[in-house]
Amino acid sequence: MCAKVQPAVISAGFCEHASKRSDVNMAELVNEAVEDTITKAGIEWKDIDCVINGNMPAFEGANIPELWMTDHMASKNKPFLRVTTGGTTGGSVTIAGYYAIASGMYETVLAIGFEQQSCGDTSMGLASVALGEFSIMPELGYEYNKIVSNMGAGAAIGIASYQAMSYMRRSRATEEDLARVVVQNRRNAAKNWYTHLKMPTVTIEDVLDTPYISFPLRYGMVCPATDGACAMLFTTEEKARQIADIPVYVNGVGSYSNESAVLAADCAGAGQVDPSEQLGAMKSAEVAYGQAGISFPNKEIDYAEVYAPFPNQELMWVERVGLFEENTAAEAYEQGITALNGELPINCSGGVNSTNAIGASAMERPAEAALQIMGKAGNQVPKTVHTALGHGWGGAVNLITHLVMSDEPQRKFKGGR
Amino acid sequence: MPLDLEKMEGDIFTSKGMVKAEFTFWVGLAMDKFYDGTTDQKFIGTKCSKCGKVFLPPRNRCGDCFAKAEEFVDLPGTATLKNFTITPWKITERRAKKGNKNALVGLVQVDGADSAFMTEILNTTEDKLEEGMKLKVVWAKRIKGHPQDIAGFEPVGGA
Amino acid sequence: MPLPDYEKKQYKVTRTMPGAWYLSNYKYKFNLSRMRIMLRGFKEGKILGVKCRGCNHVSFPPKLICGRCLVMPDQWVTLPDTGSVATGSGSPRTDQETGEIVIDPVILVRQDGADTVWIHNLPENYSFHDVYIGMPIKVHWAEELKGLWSDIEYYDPIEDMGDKINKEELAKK
Repeated sequence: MCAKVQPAVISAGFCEHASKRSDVNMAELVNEAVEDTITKAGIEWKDIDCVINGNMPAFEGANIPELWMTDHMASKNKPFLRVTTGGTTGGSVTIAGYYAIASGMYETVLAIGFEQQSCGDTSMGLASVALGEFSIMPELGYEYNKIVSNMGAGAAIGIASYQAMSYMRRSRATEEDLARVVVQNRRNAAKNWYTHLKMPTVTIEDVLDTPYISFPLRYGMVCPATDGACAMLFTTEEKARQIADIPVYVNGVGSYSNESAVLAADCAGAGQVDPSEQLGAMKSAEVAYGQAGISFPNKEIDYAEVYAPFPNQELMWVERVGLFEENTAAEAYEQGITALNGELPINCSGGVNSTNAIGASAMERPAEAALQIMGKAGNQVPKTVHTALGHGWGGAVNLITHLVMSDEPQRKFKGGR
Repeated sequence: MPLDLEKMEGDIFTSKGMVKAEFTFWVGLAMDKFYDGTTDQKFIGTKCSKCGKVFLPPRNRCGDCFAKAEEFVDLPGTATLKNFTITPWKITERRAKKGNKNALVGLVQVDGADSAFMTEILNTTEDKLEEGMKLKVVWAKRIKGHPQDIAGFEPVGGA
Repeated sequence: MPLPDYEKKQYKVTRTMPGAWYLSNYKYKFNLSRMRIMLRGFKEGKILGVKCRGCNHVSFPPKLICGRCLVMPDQWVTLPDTGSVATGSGSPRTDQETGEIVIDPVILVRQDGADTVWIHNLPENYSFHDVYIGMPIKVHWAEELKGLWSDIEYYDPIEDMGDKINKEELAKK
């Protein structure tokens, strides 16, 4: 893979995230994030050459929402592209922004991810991935109520609880380890300006005191449904040096898709026997690290944002992407290695556990990682961050995206073949 | 009623979707003010702070300047017909049906605004329609703060 | 005791407009060629999995297309009645009589000989805490086999022979 031009991130902006942003419609929500991004970068909106946008339309019921927001996205008379890949939408939009610059076609690209979940019903949106199956299976004898209760394991969590059981059996993590991750995330979120669940005083006992939704996940552990938008600005290396104090170079991207877990198409058996194995995450991390020239991720990565709406996933992903050895993540959290002033801080923005606007979340991870390198994050880590990782997953735990960013460009890709 | 696969011919089976998904969209501050206006039977638009363009229905950003358009302005009930078409189709949430009578649909630009919107032209016949003719608004009998408060536009001075 | 309330900001509440997707307007098309053969097997009390000639991947319930080889698998194998629990979860509910919280298990079953999993249930009122990953289970057929998904009513747990064999061998020595 050979990029013609080295892409860089110069700005990332957000709107205020909340459970119900009842004062704005979708276009105005996106507008807030776009304005924040453009103001922070200090460029003119006319300098933007291309706009890329993504969200998951099933949650809001507005098909082709970009028709609504041309003016609000600063995209009048400009080329436009829409990318949607379910939960990884944000990550795919970011990767599309990367390719738009790397191809040499555009000089400045605005990438936007958003979701206004209060307009729709989250469980309807999640169920809509399998609407076809829901209509055919009762015809062949599998009762509708049984499908719903089995798929969701009682609620909209579904796949995550199966994944949690497999992970906990292998790594022998306890519920207290899960609660510890939640407490770290929510306390970090309290220091970040735009997040949803800000809980500066929550404790492990508070989290474990809530009832179960589906074993082993409790109400206190799950992510919220948020309205929010996020935008990032990509440019070329040359322009980034002129505009930004610390340009953030995107050195590696990877994305992977695998067989789905729990239910496959046509009601067939699902390929992932162990949903916590996540071969896809390991492979796409390998691809992204290879492009970025990283051989030992746990030593060379200074900061990571992983997409973990549930705490068991945070423990699992940090092992899968190579930051910690197998089954040692829970111990690392206990020892404080992943805290704000630890050796390898993780999710200091509060993570997806505190703010989850589905179309925007997978973009907010690389956006926060980039802001940490620039030194402008809401909850900035004290040490200097040179290399950071942003990760996203989606689908039926089978779609993964990775972005590796650094404050030094990857020299071997400069100039093209 | 489970189906009998033995009696089915061929391999492809078609089943109907089962659910109805419902949504409620927030209208936002700009449109909220617009519906406040229609409740009082008047038009309220927004004006761009940079170039002075006026939008009706209102939006809070001007696309040409990317400047805020948050100043609310009152607009009259008269308009100009910019474009029109004649159609027998009626479109509802569930399907499109062909009706018996033709409906006259047009793009109208309220005097003072720089944007136009689509609405029905009432109380006139097909042959009387022409671009540039003057219209005035017909408010619905029951005003609710809803898009249907505007029943349509009719030609000024009678049919 | 609920979680401490998070810091909330109040936003102005504007009007809402309703919308709906009438999904009954949509027609979903399915290729039931593989389902048909599997359900025919159910009627005779047999479990049939489909095998891909390219990679030997066996899937039960049968897949239409093999993702690795991009062919439609067409070799059928008979699988035994037994399987194992690949992973599982539990949905809690409150018992009407005792008022205690009971967790109903839901499992992903891997049929012996297959490389895929599907969702099913254990007998009613089976305790979630006795379920473990790798637990051997067996199909519990419905009383009347009609050639539908409901012919497999649930899965019964069976004795874990692996454990016993080990202990018996060691006891001999």
